[in-house]
Amino acid sequence: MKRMVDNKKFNRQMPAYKLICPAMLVIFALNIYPLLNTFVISFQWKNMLDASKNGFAGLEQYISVLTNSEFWNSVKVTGQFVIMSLTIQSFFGMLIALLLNQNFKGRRFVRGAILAPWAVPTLVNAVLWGWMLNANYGLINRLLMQWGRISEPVAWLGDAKIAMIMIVLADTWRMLPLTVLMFLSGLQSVSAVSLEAGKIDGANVFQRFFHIILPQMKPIILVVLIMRTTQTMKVFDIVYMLTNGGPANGTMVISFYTYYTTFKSLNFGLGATLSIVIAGIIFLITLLYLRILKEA
Amino acid sequence: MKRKLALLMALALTVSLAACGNSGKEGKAGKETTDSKAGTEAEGKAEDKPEKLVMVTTTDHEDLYSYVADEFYEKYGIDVDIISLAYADVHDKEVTMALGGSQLDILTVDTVWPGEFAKSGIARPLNEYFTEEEIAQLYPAFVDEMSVGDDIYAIPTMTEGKWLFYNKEMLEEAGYSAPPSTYDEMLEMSRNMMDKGICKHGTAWAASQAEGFVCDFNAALYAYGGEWINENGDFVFNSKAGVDALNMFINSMKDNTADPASVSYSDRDNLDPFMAGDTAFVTCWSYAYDFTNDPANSSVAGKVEVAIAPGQGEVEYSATTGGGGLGITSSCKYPEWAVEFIKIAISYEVQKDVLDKFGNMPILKRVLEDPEILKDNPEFEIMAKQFDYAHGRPTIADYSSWSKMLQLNLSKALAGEVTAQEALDEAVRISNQEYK
Repeated sequence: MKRMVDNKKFNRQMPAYKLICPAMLVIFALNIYPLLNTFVISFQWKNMLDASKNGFAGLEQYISVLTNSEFWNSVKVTGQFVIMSLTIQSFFGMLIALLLNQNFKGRRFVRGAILAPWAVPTLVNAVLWGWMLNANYGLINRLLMQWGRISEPVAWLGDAKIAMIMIVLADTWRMLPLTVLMFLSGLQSVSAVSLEAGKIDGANVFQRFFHIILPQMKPIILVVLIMRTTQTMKVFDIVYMLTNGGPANGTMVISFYTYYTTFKSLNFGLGATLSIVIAGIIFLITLLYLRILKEA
Repeated sequence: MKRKLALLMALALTVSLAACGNSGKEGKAGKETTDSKAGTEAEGKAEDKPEKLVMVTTTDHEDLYSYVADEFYEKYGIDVDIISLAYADVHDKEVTMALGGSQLDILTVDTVWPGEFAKSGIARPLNEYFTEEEIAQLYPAFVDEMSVGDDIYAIPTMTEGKWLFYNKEMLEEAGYSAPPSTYDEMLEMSRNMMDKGICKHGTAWAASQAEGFVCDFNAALYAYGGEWINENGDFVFNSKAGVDALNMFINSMKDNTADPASVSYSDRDNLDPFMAGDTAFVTCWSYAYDFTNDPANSSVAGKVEVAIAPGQGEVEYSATTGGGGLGITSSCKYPEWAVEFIKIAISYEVQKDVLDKFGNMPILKRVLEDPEILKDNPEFEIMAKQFDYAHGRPTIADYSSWSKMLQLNLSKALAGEVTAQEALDEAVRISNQEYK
């Protein structure tokens, strides 16, 4: 009897499997196979400029990566970028979402308009900020000089620390709307009854936020953090366009370092190893977030 | 009905997922492939003839090589698919195509790639396909750049270098009748013009962490009497000459003689202050002459002249070579036909047109010595003279990796994190340890 029921269920589900088959094949070809292939290559010496060594490498490339100061510099730089981006985007994302959650005239228009930066392609965004940050002809220096804030143009991308801040700013301008949107959707699920009760009990704005809104928004906050962490860890385009990893490797994020190793130095084995290590780091961070989410 | 709708949606999903892959547009300013079809079917051996040849080139040279491809088709009836990309993407495209097994017959080879292409086996030596007479027609310095030892891995198709461009009007206003011939002179003239309010800064360097600054440092290193590698094969660019050269850049930015924002400029960005009339000098590639004299781009159009890159002390002049050539992949099934394409590219008729139609500097000596051509383009006499003082960057198999290391150390010195001596000592240490 059970077998008959199982067969019936399978037959009912069969069309669904058939329909998703083409998409699964594409996903396998474009995602799973390259990932597996990269994993296999990471255990091989595959340096086009030193073919005599090509062959099985075992864990040697992993050891080489994990003992390489340039790798750890890029991890540090990426970490700085991730932490700065997440902090700024979460803070302002929440603030703007709270404002947009209020009732005011033109709210619909503002909610729509705030998404505009997100529609700008990453490369266009990078070129735009490149020009705004141009030391002699950029908008930012012109405005600051007009307001008397600076007397001489600032080379925003000429100093490692300032260049990193500018990259965070450029990324934030584009990605903040996404954070706002997600927090705004989370705010819709906050119980109006709890908020009302809090008001009646005399809780002020901050108390309502920290004790009622924030706890109820924990799941969506974690989703945003997971999503933005994985996205920021993979940042590439904006660094490629604005600074090329400089000055003095001050913006050499891990994905750019991997790209350089693989395609400029033609060391495919080491590049594959770096990719797997990055994937591993992102995976561990995701697991940590999921654990926190589960407990929440 | 529901099943048909579901099937339609699944097909749409599959198509859209497949379309999310590479759309065929490459690079920051890439283009789709272009076919060259012109003229009639030429006579030639029907057998052993390829259906087409595939080449990769930069967007800057797409017009030139399309022209060559038209000539090639007219003569042999063979199509050439030209994949053109922004310069920054050409290397990666060629590497991935050649190593990935895609058809790629003709390579664009920049001056610093022969070592890498030779060692990785991407390019094949071309000595057997060209006679000594054919090679002798080309400027030797550029043939040497395309060689690894005695093997020629690409045939140079144009000359290139970084010249000193200057605003003639500014110099005249300051009372100068000739451009500087040394760095000291250039900086002194700059300070004088700045004091008189003629310009904001003397010059702007291409001093960002990129290959552009390696080129400028290369010229300055030789100007100050230094060299990259001595006769024993040791890297020695941390000599007094190297340190003096690097300090020249650093100090000029510190005292504002050069635009302090130069640390954020690529070798294209540093043209902007020059074209805006803020600087009196700029070093740049040959295209800058037409570019800065074009009213569509430049507010100093018509005022820009060219001079040989300056020397220093006893060194009369010193310049960086550039340009590039065409190579043939090891995987090319029809190298003889690819060779014919290259021969057309370096033929006298095409090289004359290289100059007239495309504004590139030709590689054939007799084109630049032609009095008719010099009559119409007097600046080429000056520009061609620079080839006698030109120096290439070192030929290293893993040039990209070496250059990246050097760029980092130079950048640290420019940022003031370390002294020039410390930066060059570290770069030399790593060079001798890993790249000798």
